[in-house]
Amino acid sequence: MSHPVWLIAKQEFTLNRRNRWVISFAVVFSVLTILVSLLGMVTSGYSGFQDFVRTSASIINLDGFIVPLFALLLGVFSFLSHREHLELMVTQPISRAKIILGKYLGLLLTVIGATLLGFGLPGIVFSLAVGVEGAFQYFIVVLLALLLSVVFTGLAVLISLLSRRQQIALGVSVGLWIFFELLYGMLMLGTTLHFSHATLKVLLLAGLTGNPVDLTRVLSLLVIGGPHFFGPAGATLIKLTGSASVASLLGLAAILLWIVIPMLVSIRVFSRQNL
Amino acid sequence: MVRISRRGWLALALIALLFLIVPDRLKSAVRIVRAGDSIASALSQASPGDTLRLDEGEYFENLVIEVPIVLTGKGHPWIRGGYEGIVIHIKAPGTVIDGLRVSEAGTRLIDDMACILVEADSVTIQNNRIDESLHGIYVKAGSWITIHDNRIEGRLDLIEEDRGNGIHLWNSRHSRIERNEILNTRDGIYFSFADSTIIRQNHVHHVRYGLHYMYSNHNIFEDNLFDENVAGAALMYSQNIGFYRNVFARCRGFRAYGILYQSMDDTRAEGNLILDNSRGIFLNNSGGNILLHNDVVDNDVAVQMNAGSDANIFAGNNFINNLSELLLDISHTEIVWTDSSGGNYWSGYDGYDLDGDGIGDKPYTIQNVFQVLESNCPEVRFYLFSPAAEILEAAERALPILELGKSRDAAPRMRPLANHDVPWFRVRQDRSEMNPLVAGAFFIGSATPLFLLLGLSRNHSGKRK
Repeated sequence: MSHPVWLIAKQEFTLNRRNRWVISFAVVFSVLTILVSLLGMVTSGYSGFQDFVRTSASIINLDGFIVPLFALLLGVFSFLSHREHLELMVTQPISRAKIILGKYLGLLLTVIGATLLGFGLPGIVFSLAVGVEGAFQYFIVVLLALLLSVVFTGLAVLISLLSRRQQIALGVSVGLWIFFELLYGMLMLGTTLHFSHATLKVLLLAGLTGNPVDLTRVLSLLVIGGPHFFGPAGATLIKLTGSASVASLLGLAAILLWIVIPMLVSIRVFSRQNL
Repeated sequence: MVRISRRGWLALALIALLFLIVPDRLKSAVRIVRAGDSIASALSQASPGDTLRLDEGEYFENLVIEVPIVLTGKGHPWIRGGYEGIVIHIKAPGTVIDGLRVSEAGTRLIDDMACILVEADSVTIQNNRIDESLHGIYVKAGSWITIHDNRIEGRLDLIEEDRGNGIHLWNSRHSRIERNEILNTRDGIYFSFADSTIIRQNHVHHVRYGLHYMYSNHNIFEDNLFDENVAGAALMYSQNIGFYRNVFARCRGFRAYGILYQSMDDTRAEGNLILDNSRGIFLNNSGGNILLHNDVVDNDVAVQMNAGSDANIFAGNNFINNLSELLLDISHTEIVWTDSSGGNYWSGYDGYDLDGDGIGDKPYTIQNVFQVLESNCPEVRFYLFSPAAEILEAAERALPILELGKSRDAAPRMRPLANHDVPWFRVRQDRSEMNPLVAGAFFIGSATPLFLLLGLSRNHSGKRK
């Protein structure tokens, strides 16, 4: 296939694959995943009672921390350290939208590849150790982690385009990471001190869509643990959306928006940018 | 020559008299009923104390037992009610039903339809298989009833509200219910106005409430296993109940509880295992209950207490790996977390023990800040496990001034208590014995990527040369 977008993507992927950080990330990630679940099983005595929910909750938390950071850093690095390459490409007779799509796709391939590698090894170990009964749940966790990595790759592209200089872009992405990981949740928990319960019901639920990290965590837990995992909050969720599957679909739609909108903005910014 | 006194003669005469009477009792006949014959006509000829022995086979009948007899047979003779009315209706005290299969009761709950309806005292129902039931065994105003070693299966084709209960006791005293298995009914064992009953070693699963108590006092239940029900036990409006060494496990759902206390006073729970439920122990308007030496493990919420639940005592329990330990709907609930021997073990406690007496030196604040927020607004639970929540909890530990929770265990244990009575053996699975294997696989698994990394970097440097 020689579509220009694909060619650029392939080139980008090859460049990234040579990057030692990518494989290191995958390795560190899989080791952490295995250790976290092992620790979880040891502390709970691995009695065989504990369903997959709690073990996967720690894995979800772990990938919620690492995947966005990795996607952001890799995106910013690869976009801005080959800046001349980008400029060279712009002189070619291809539209800027195609260039940006190609680079984005290449980055995605890298991030998804590394994430899959990071999850794949633990997956094999799990199935060897405890059988394949948690396979579906694990698949859901991996799928949502992949979506999360796609979201943050898109955000990394946008940040790189907007800030142009690598130092600024790095600062912004780390800031964004801290915001989504910590500050956003703190803000949401803070709202409980100021509003009535009727407002809070809607606010806390709608607030989830404002943060892809929270969104993927809740979606994973919803699919794995069922709505009753959230107790009365799960009942609110069902009351407001109709059913758990509708709620999951709405969540997925929100994640897709988080993927599509930054992409569209990036294309628009890059097309108008004076390099 | 042995001389026999007058008193001796009298005794001998009495014994002889006994021999004259007892054979008369023993003379009670054993009647055989062949497959295809009518049990009802055999019943009409039976005199008190007779044994009716059924041949193996099917009997399409609805029986009314008005003379005390023993109804039994080999290979579970099958009595089928044809989904009409009551299958066996016992009106004679002292009747024994042994080793039958009884099926197909009618479906009108309002008429108390059941596979076996008991309206007499001192009835024994044992070793039966009861299926396609509405109520399995319904005891209506009968006392001294013994129900043991039966298997009672409800009808899955009916919706929950239309099913009957496994064993239903109404207005009954001094009954014993032992070693039964009950599944797929509405409630497993239902009590109303049933006092002084002993319930032992039953297994109730896949029903609504494993045990449903209404207005029944002075009962004891021990060594039972309740799993995969909506609620393990729903105890309501009763006093002085003791339950010991039971398992309440895997009740999951919005309205799922391990044990639910509604307006229950002065009960005592010891050595029970409350495992993997949405809510472990739920108390509403219940006071003066004592819970000692239970293991409360792997529940989403360990203890939830609503208004009017005062002066309950929790001591010597192990609270292990529960997502939330305590939810209160009001902040001023008086709970006693320590008795003379000390407090509970909490897996969330991170205090220290400088004097080495096994009891933590600083009190354990049972509700952390997240749980307090959640008590105020349940939707906060969406942020459970979020980094923000973890940070908040860490901040609370570091800066105790933040402490919002008021419930404190003054003497938290440093190690789990050895609650020997807790029947873990009932839920242990073979998998737990795989532990070394699991650990080995994990070890190899986590080492592999390291080797991979080493190998990769070697290749890389090799290429450079």
